[in-house]
Parts: sequence; C-alpha cells; structure tokens
Amino acid sequence: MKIVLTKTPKVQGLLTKDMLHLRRFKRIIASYIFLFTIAAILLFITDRSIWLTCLLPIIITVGAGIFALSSFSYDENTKIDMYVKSLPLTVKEIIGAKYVFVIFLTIIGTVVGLLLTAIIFTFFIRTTISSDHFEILIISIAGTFCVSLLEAIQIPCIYKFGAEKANMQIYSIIVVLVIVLVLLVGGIFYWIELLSLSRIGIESLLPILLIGLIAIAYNVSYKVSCRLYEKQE
Amino acid sequence: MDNILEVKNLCKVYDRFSLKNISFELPKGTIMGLVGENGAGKSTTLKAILNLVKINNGSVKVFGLDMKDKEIEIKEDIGVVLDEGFFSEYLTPTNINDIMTGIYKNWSKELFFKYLEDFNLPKDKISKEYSTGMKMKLKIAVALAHKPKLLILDEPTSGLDPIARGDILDIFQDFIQDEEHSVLVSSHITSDLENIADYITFINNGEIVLSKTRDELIDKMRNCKMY
Repeated sequence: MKIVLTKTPKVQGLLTKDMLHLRRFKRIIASYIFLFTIAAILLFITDRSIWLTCLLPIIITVGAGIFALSSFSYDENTKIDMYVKSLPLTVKEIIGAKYVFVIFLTIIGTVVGLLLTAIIFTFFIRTTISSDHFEILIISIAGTFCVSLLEAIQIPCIYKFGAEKANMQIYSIIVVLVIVLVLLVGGIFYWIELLSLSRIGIESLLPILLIGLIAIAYNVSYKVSCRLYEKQE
Repeated sequence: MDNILEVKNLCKVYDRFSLKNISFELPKGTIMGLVGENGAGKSTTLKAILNLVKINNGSVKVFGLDMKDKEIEIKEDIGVVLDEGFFSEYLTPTNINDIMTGIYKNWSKELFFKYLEDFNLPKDKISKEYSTGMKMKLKIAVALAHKPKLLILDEPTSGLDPIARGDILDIFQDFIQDEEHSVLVSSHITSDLENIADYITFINNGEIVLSKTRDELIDKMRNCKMY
C-alpha cells in the first residue's frame, strides 16, 4: 500500500477533496475539542478529579474517527463515486486515498488528545501522575488503538453496505470486538502472570504487538475494500 | 477518416434491462448525438464506454486503444459530464481546481479559470448558489480544463432553459473546430442535436435502431414526407 501511495500524486487530489469536506465542520470540531478540554479543566478545579483529562486522547480520537468516516456519507450524498470512477484513477488510488485520510485523522486525533492531556497536567494539575491515573491514561491510549481497529473493520463494511447501513453493522462489530479484545488482553496478561514473564519485560512489547495488529488489520481491510469496490457498479 | 471511438457489440445485462449489441463509430472532428427516450439505455451505454459498469460482452476502443487495457491512459484524454455525480455543492470552482490539479496530468489552472470567465462563473462562490445552467457550465469547464480529445456528456442540456442550452451547444461546436476533437452527447431533446450533431444514434429499449449521419437522416425524412 505504501508504494502505491507514495508513487501516485493523484491521491493528493482525493485527499484535498476530503480535507475540504472536513473544513466545513471546522467550528464543530473546534467546539468538540474545546468543550471536552474545558470540562476536563473544570472537573479538576471543582473536584480535583483528573479522570477526564486522562481520557482526552480516546475522546478526541473517537471524534476524529467519526469525522473521518463522515467523508463516506458525504461521498454517498453527492453521488461522487461514479464521477470519481470516470477520472484517470486506479482502484488502489481511490481506496488508498480514503485509508490515508482516515489513518491521518486518527493519528492527528491521538496526538492532539495527548498534547491536551500534557498541557492540562503541566499548567493546571501540576502534579506527578498517580498509578491509578496512569492506568486510566494507558487505557485511554489503548482505546485509540481500538478506534483504529474499528475503522479498519468499518471501511470495508461501508464499501459493502453503504455508509448508512454500515453504521448499523458497526454496533454488532463493537460488541464482538470488545469480547475479542477482553479475551485477548486478558489472555495475554494471564500468560504473562503464569509464566512470570513480566520480569523480563514482555509487557513493554504490548504496544508493539498492538501496532503490529493494527498494521495487519489495515492491510487486510485495504485489500478487502479494493475487492469490494471493484465489484461495485 | 480516423475514428476516435469504436464501440463493438456492447452487451450489458441487468435483471430487467439489457443493452444488446451496441455498435457505432465516432470519427475525429465530429459530434454524435445519442438519442432515445428516458430509460432507453443512453446513460448505460455511456457508462459502459467509460468502464463504469462491467460489460458482459463487446469491446470499446478509444484513440485506437482498448479501454480494458489502457483505461487510465485513455481517461487522461476524456472529459466527462455525468447526469448524476459531481463535487459537493459546498465547493467553489477554486476548490475544484485544487482537487483536479492533483488528478489530471494535463490539468491547466489557467485554462480552467479562462473557461470560468468565458462562462461568467464566479470562481469563489460555492456552486450551491449557482443556477442550474451555471452548474452545468461548471461541469463542462471541469471536463474541458485538462485539454481532452473526447468529450462524453450525459444529458448536459436537460433541465436548462433555451438560452443556456444554446450556450452549451455552442461550446461543443467550438470544441470540435480543429477536427481533432470529438463529442459524444446523449440527450432526449432531439431538437438540441438537430443543429450540432454530425451523427445521430437512436437507442430504444437497449438496442440501436439507427446510427446515421444527420444529412442522411434529413434526406430520409424528406423522402418520407414526399411519400
């Protein structure tokens, strides 16, 4: 996928289209980020509570994911798909541009969320993070991986069922995914505990495992989406 | 005369409709009008030519190249206006220029803005605020700005008033003046094609009923009237 995208500047045209679409929602996006940031700060000032601050990465990433996936509904409403097919673009370029857009926004969402958490800690909370809150922060960051995984599953669903119907499918996917993740993470921790592997630092490999899992998921998702798109009429 | 487009035995089968052995040729420097009532198969024919729908049988050659083998290369030199499907109405022509610059190798910003000026289209106004005629002219400006050799247009004059229709038909005539460019245009308004089309292909129920030069058709009609 990487080779296709870097070799084809045509993807830039499609990315520009989706970014211009996103620009229409700039006030909503700014309000979304602003409201949660203010709420996190107020919650700390009034209640000395920092759980919302720790959850900002996942909250902002979910928002970014929703806005990224809304570009599919926008394409469906404007019926631009047929027009895009009439342009000198390959299926890999058309689908690749969508994946780049979704991944880009998810990363931006995570980075913005982490930055906001860091800013609130630095300028308002001004204390070292406790182990309880560190756990919430880790769960929040792990949640951003789950968002990526959900997107990797949802994109082929959109190409199969359309943007509106795929939103319905996603609820059943969420349930399945949560069960799978709980079993997977629980299982990993169980074996780490059982084999006393934590002493040799296996836990530190978890982020790499998660990134690997996401990379595989996106690779499979991209290929499935290309197949489904080719079959569309 | 060289053909810019050759369609041979095109077949596309749907549940309740099918295109049956559509064949015709479009020579360079000419305009062909694809006529027929709504649902006759005009749009499906154009989509099949552009490989937007998968055909069951037949072949399409554009500029002497097979559409199946050289689709991207061919599409670089085709300007397309579809009945449905275009950019969001919340985009301005300037936005569309930014998008298309990244898509067509030969996209010319200067040419695009020249067309906008010629067609009296404000470049920084969202197309939602355009009239129906202006929206169609914008589609045509986009289709022309990468200097295509062939224009394929689906119902470009439907829903327009006679003045806007006249303007658009003039654009097509200007386009073929150098005898190197061609236009394939579908319409159910036969009077639009009477004055500009060199060839008329009539489709009914997914089949070509006739495909002749306009002069041949006029002669035939005259003879019919005499009898």
